[in-house]
Amino acid sequence: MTPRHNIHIKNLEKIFYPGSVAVVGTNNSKGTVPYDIFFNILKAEFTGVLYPVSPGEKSICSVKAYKYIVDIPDQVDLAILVFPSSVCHLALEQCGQKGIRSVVIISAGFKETGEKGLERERQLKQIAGKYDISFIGPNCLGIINTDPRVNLNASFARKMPEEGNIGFLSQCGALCTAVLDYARAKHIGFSKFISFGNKADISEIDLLFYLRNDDKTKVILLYLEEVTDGSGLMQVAREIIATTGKPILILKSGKTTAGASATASHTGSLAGSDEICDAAFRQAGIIRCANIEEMFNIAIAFAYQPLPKSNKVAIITNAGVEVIPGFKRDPSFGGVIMFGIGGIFVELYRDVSFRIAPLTEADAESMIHEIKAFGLLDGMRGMKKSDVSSIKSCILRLSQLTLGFPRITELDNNPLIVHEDGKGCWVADAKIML
Amino acid sequence: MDKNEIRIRVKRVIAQVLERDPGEIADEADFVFDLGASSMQSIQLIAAFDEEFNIEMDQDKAMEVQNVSAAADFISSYLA
Repeated sequence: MTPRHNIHIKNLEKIFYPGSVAVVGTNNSKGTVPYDIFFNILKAEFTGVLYPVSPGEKSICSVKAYKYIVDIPDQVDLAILVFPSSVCHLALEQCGQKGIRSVVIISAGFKETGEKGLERERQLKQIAGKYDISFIGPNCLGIINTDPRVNLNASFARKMPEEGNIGFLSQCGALCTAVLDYARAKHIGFSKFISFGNKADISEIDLLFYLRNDDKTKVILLYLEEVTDGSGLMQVAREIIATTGKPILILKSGKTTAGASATASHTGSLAGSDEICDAAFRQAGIIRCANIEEMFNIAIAFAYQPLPKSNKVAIITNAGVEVIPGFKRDPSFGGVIMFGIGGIFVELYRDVSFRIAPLTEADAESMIHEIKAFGLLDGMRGMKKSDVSSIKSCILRLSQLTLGFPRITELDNNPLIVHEDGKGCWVADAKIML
Repeated sequence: MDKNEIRIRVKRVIAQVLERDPGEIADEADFVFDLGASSMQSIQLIAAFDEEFNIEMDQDKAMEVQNVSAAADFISSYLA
């Protein structure tokens, strides 16, 4: 915990719930970060007042621009700095003079670029200390608060994510855009979305504390490239989990040698020992995830399901054999029917048979018998025989579909769950491509 | 060429490239923070100074020059 932690907690409220925002260093060049940040705040329909600060322009997106932040006649709660790194200290100094205590520094060109950049970063921290300013960044994507009370997209992510109850923190801006794309495709919503970059001032620990008290956040996701205060992280995680029950999921880079090398070049810091991280996270109750998909699968479960009251969990599953019937339209041969062992094993074992439509009953039957795993359906080692005639019926219907609906180019029934003889089968998941 | 003349010509070039009134360009004005120069305009400024003074500046060093006065000093070192 840093001595400035209490100041950060106070100032973070204005970072996420500002009444007014100034974008300092914006310009009219579409497609650049300084322009996009301003435009995105405007486009997301921020509920407060927005000011562009641009020494070279009279207006940005038809909004009157100010030369300096100190020229703005009204109070400004949050400043977003998008100037080149060489002059960020001048802008931050003016923020201090203006009485602004909450700042996000998007600009790159600091610690991650070497000694000169590190010196610039030190300069920013010195100014922040002088004025009791708290800042997120530098070298970050920005922050998003989907709460309709503010609608704040102070980032260069073009689309505001849906509102939800997942709080996402990331040290890496590039990962943020990948996560936003992934989440958008799956309609996963966020409460707060925070890219904290070089964490020169506000760290993940301060942000975790903030999210502990954020009633919009039920689950916290954290992507880290380096752990700089391991004991602080463990302490805050334990406290959040114990006092609020909010689960914390972590994705930490550096698990492989290549990953460690990537983080060193990206943030100028070495990845910590992976085994130590594993142990520390486990001790603190943090769930470590292997990849983005796993992280969101777990997060969705936590976000939408109540936590179990005890550690007694029953897993209910479907009986039956998992198989896959499907078809693909080949440009030369027309409808090609496929049958095999389905579910997650289909691509691994490639135990499949093919026929060209139209099929006869004998064709369908031979397709089923042809796969190596037919024994699973035929009652091997005391298992009950599966309802093979229902599979045959499905395959014949697929054959009819290829002929009757030429617009369908591909179709998967994966898995088709087959019950014991006489009890039929049903499709658990299907994909149809036109 | 004395430094005052260099400074006047530097301001004239800046005014043309950044489309500013020469009168509003102070000696200590920072190209980015005070005059709003973009990275592209910074490169255009170096090219314009080279042409104005018939010199060939080291681009990396020239990019580190941040204000009008420092630019005049930097250019004068090529004219000495």
